[in-house]
Amino acid sequence: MVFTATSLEELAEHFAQLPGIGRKTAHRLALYILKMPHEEVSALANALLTVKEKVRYCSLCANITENDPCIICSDPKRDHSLICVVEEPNDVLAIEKTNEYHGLYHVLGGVLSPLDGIGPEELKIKELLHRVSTTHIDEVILALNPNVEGEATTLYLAKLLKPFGMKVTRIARGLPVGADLEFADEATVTRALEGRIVI
Amino acid sequence: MRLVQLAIETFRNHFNTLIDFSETGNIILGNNGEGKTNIIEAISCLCLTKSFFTPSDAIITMFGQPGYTVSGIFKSDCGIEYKATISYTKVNSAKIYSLNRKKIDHLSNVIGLFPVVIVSPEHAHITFGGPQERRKFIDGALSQTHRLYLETLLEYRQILKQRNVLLMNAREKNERIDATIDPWNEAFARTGTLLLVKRKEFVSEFRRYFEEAFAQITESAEKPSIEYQCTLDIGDASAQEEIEVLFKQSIAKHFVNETKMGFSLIGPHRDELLFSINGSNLRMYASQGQHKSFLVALKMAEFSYIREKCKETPILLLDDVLSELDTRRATNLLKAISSAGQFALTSTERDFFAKFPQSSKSWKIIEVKNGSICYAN
Ligand SMILES: Nc1ncnc2c1ncn2[C@@H]1O[C@H](COP(=O)(O)OP(=O)(O)OP(=O)(O)O)[C@@H](O)[C@H]1O
Ligand SMILES: [Mg+2]
Ligand SMILES: [Zn+2]
Repeated sequence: MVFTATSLEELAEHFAQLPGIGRKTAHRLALYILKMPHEEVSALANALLTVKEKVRYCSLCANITENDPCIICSDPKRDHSLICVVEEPNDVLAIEKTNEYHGLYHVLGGVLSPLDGIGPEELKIKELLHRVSTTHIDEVILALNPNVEGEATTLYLAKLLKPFGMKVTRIARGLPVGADLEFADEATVTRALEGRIVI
Repeated sequence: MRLVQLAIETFRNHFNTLIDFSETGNIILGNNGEGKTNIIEAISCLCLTKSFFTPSDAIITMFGQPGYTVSGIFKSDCGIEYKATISYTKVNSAKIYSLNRKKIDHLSNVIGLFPVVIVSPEHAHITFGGPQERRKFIDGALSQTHRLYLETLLEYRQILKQRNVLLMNAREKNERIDATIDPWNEAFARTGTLLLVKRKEFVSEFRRYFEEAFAQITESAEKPSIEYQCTLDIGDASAQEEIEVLFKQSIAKHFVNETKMGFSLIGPHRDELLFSINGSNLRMYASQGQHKSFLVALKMAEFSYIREKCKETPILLLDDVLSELDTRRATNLLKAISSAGQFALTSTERDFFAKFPQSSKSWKIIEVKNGSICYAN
């Protein structure tokens, strides 16, 4: 299917580049936008720009935020001696939804994967080491996804963190292999956090 | 497990073929190129989610068609019925498997549900081809019987790919990888050890089934043997912890060499399963008929092994197995499979089966012509 209007085609093309959106859906979305009232479209356009302008990375935990440090890092009621290391901001959301975890986070921005050209330099590992060496941390929980790359990253971090003397744990393999943290249900995430093991 | 009914749509030269199978013996007859092997291939897709010889689903889709569908009704040893369907669409190369109308999330979850043992001319590679063919044989048997083995194997392959990228970077770009390769070595040794332990265990258990099957088919004094050969020097260590330590030592020992070569030199992905008859290497010295007998015995042993481990009788699919076997061995084989469970055997030799008036009465004869069934009793 090809639209006769170039601008519509271009919009569909942009949608198609988003994750999880196929060509057909992209066209449907583009047509939907065309039928939306003008003010709604401009609100949407503004929202897109605002996100890009306002949202940045927290200088402590590297999570996405509008205020630096983020609300989690600046919350005095949270346990500041506990850091949970995750891959992506989505994983923070998944764990926050359980309402069971009250420590801080550290968002790596991915996992080690030589195939994708991702080495330690590409991740927020230096920042994590800086954090644990300058603040008092009792425990670091490594909560990466239970796949090959997550495993290797866990092993890599565990080795780097050992010399600092705090407890280093990982979430139990309660998640089925291949299931991403982001998609696991709350009960599973909670169980995995409770069953964490020292490494 | 038995396959009760099979429906094939736009798959190879079958436009729309429906077959009711006998729960014991099925003889699929037809001239060359009529579509017998294609039926075996369709069953393979249903049981293993892929063809047993081509990795391309586009190739098995009937010329000019958008995709294929194979569905079947299975009945387990204890009588439970399953309805399974696999469909493939070319445009988005999507393959969907559904079991009792529910979609299965990962295709690999299907492996082992419908245990199957296939013997076809393609499998001649197992005895004639390189070591990778024999590793594939072990991996296949273990994957159908040990869920954890399959998962570990998939992990190991991914780790191997990642590790090789680092070794290649060291070779091509002179990158220092001492620290970055560490976690990959760790994961490599952990998964590699699991594979090794399972494979060694497999070979030692499998040997008994194999020798039995070989004797039954050949009725000869020939003494066959199978031996697992490790690229790692693990001596006769068999405990997991012990092997993992040796694995790590071996990784350290080969590290400099591996960075020179740019890929992993040791590990189960480079091991060999050595076949011989009366002490001489099968690959180098055996006759065509000896190769075929060895292969058929391996497959019959795989059948017994899977039945024992899964507590479910596999379906036996034999494509063109009788050629190259002398009449006595062919007869022995037919006897063996008749008492084994459900089988489907393809052949061009209608007359051969007339020699078995007794058993052939209970066998179902299915005749294939130009992608359709032209006769079935
Ligand atoms: N994708 C396809 N679409 C349509 N026809 C195909 C396709 N792939 C193969 N064929 C046809 O299928 C036929 C081969 O079928 P098959 O391999 O099942 O034969 P067979 O009965 O096993 O023969 P033989 O006795 O020689 O082994 C050939 O005629 C071939 O042209
Ligand atoms: Mg054939
Ligand atoms: Zn923060």
